[in-house]
Amino acid sequence: MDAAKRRNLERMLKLQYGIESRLPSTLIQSGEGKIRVATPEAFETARSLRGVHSVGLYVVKVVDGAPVLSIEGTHLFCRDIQQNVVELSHEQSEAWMSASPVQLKMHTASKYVAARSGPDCLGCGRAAGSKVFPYIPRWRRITSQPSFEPTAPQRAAAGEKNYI
Amino acid sequence: MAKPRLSEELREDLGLLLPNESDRLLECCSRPLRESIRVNTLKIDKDSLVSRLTTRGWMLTPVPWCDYACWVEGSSRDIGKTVEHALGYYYMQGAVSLVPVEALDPQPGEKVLDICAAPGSKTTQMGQKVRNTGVIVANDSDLKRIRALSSNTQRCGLINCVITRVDGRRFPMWAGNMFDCVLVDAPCTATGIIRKSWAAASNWSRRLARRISMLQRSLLRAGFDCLKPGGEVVYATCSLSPEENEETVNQLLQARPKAELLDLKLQGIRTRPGVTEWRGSKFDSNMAKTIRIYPHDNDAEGFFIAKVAKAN
Repeated sequence: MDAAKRRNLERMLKLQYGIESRLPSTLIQSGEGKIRVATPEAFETARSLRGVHSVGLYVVKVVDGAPVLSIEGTHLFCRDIQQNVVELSHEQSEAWMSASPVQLKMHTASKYVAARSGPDCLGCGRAAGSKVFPYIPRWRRITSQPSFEPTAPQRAAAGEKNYI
Repeated sequence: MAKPRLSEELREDLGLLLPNESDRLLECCSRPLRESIRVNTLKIDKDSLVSRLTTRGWMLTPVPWCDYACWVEGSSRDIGKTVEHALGYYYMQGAVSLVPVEALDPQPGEKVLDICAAPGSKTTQMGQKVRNTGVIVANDSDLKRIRALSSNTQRCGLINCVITRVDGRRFPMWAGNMFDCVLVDAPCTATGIIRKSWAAASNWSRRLARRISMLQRSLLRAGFDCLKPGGEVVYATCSLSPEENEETVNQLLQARPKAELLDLKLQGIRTRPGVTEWRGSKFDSNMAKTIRIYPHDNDAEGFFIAKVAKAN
């Protein structure tokens, strides 16, 4: 990625998420507006190989002029994200990772927001009013499960038959 | 669990390999495989993950031969369906399948080739061993499997990985003498992991093992040819048949005079030396430096591992 595109991406990240830190040295523009981070050795090695499918890690995609961070992108910049970030509870993070929309207590002004849950960085989602629709790739979604195994009285109270 | 069907040829070979012990091996294989996870230290430290999973009802006990892996038990929930798994904090990986990378022991900054990489368990394990530095070239020839490889390297956060899709046998044509270390985790008849699927045991034949060993020999030669002088290759299969293991390594030693078998020093796991003779064929005297890991020795999977250096 050339210097001008890099500067532009840094500017967009600062504007959208308040990220001030410098981007890693090797950035690669791949298909569908996706940007990947790689080690310089990986990039150099890839140039001498055949049948290259991908290099490095997908971290951000530019959608309608706004940067949308992948889960690894938010992990990379986790502590540097200062704005347009929502804090989720553990239950909300389970819903988020199963790609279910998450209801927030307040409206968000930005179209895209990043999500955190304690120390976990969960990627980005599209905000619409007080709801956020997470961008979780299909292969990465979890099927929803209760956080804890229900206890015997809870299962009995839930009307589970033949439960002693 | 009812004792599953085993092909007659495999029963005969196991009897030859393990006189008086094959029943113990089969009894062990009739039990389900214990689940284990590898902590992805690129994203989280082991103590934090263990604490998080323990509070949710799982019991984790350390795997003795790998300090960043745990056996998992104690909850009916699927360990593959947690937020932590989706975030790439851990990888579900058989405990013995961690050993080939431990044997190769790639170091930070090195140039590493995984010639049969999909679905990426060992690639991502190597990624954390080299701490996301240098480069790991992960190759596979099958597009479907490449997708799984790509997903797993992304989930585990590898920035030093180049994924290629070519026939691994052709790799030396453009990458000869290029790598510090190479892993050849070759396709095999999978008789060491029949606890996962008994189809491998009921369909096994010597003919099938011979046929697949032709591919294994070519892949091992290709992996060796990609090594820099002084580099090291680990050859591993989850098969127990000598045709796919010692015979394959022996063929490399004959074809490449610069190939030297190395000792494997592993702690916490019960291993046995490779066989030096099989059905009338005698192998290189150093073949006892290779290791066999039988399922009933560690209540886990079965593997064969050999480490070969390329002399300067």
